[in-house]
Amino acid sequence: MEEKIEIKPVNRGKRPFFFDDPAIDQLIAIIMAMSGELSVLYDRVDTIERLLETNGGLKRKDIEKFRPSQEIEDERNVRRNEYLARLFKIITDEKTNLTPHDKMRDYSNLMKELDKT
Amino acid sequence: MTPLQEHKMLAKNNHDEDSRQSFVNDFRVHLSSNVFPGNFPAYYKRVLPQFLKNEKREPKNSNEIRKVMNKDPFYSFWSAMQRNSQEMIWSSVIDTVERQLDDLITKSKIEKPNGSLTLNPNLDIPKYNTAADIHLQPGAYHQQQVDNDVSAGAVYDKGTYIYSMGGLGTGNNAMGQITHGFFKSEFPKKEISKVLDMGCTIGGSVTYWAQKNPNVEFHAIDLGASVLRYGHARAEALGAEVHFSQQNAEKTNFDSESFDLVMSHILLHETSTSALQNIFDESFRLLKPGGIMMHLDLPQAHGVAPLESFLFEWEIYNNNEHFYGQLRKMDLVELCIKAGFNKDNIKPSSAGNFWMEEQTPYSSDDFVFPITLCIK
Ligand SMILES: C[S@@+](CC[C@H](N)C(=O)[O-])C[C@H]1O[C@@H](n2cnc3c(N)ncnc32)[C@H](O)[C@@H]1O
Repeated sequence: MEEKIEIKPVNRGKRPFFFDDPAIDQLIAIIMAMSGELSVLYDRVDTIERLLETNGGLKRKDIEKFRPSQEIEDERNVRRNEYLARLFKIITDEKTNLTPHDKMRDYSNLMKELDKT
Repeated sequence: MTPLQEHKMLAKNNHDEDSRQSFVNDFRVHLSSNVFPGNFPAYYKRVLPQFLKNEKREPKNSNEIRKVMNKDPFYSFWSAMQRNSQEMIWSSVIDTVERQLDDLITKSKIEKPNGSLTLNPNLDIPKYNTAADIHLQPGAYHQQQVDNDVSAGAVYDKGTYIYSMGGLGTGNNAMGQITHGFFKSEFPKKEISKVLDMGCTIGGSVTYWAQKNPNVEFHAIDLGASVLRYGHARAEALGAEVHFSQQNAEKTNFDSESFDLVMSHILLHETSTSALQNIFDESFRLLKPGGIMMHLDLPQAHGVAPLESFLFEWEIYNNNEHFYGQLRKMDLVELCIKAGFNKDNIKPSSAGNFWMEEQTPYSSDDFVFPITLCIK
């Protein structure tokens, strides 16, 4: 058998780490890869459902042959956007509610405020 | 994602690769429209007030902003995601190309081409192309692992389309559409018979020009053999006649005063300070009197506010676009004068997606590229 050719980085340059602890960067990479694979899986389930619905049965090669029409791709696109919004809600929420750290009220201050009339 | 226009050389996705690539595309759209904008409140509400408190003044330039923004958790999270999304582009298309590489190599050999392909295995690849994998494409433009390798071209074709989130158009030729529309309006009467495109990669732009002007002789050069083999076969598949050759744009083997137009599309920012001058010098040498030099590249820093500059420069530090940091600050007019162009014939210009024929997902937002335009 012929050896499979692998397209590899020659010189990536120094990897930037954005957090003090590189493990956080690594975890983000893992989460993103997982998010991607979950989305791929969802599309695959969607393909299977559609094939079953139209054909009543399923051959594996039909899955490989299936390509979404523009209409189906648009549906998937909407679904992916909703999925991404749910997934990264904590980040996008921070964007709109972002408060300077020194202005964040901690619990004890909040309690004092509650008692004010 | 609207798929790329099919052609014989385009590597075919299987079911899951197709979805994976669509995911990366949608993810990058999500990042740029829903996450990236958070950098502004992060700066104005959090980072800037802290800076003002500590320093009693505003940051002077993008470097000062970088130092403080690098510590902001929102900016860090966005950056980590953006960097990963860039890596995911390539990993989502590499499997597809690896699987059918043998087949692509076979298809790239054209019996009776309309155009041509001339390779030079002895060409030295300059350091600025090998020092790092530019925009993180594994192996960059020049890696060759098998005889007659076309993988760098095949990966680039699919990957840059995702990188641009469809903005390059389904023919992967937006920049060619822009320079073509711009040129035809700027020089409506100019007769051209011979044109050179420098740093053509897979010939996205020049192939578009050739399709539009079948009676003009088009030459296209690049350093990478793999991208040229692929580009040649791609142009043939699209029915365009282009003569590809492996040459360094700093010093080519073409005759002096032999071209009516010498152009490039985002080549300059991937070179070096000395290479840039050499490329302008060489363009001048190659042009007939009255000929036109037209180099389109990324925006410069002149007159840009520090925060915008800082955000724009993200790619320099995190996406291996090193020289772009220098290019942003350079005076290109001065280099044109040094190359031999008369001051009155140097016309710094700009052109954007309003020159495109095709509607892309970004047609409503103007992105504008500066063009270094000179008449010899
Ligand atoms: C961003 S790509 C250009 C994209 C292409 N012009 C298009 O329109 O699709 C930059 C290309 O410039 C090439 N390049 C860099 N320095 C060069 C040089 N000195 N001579 C020729 N090509 C060069 C690289 O190999 C790479 O393929």
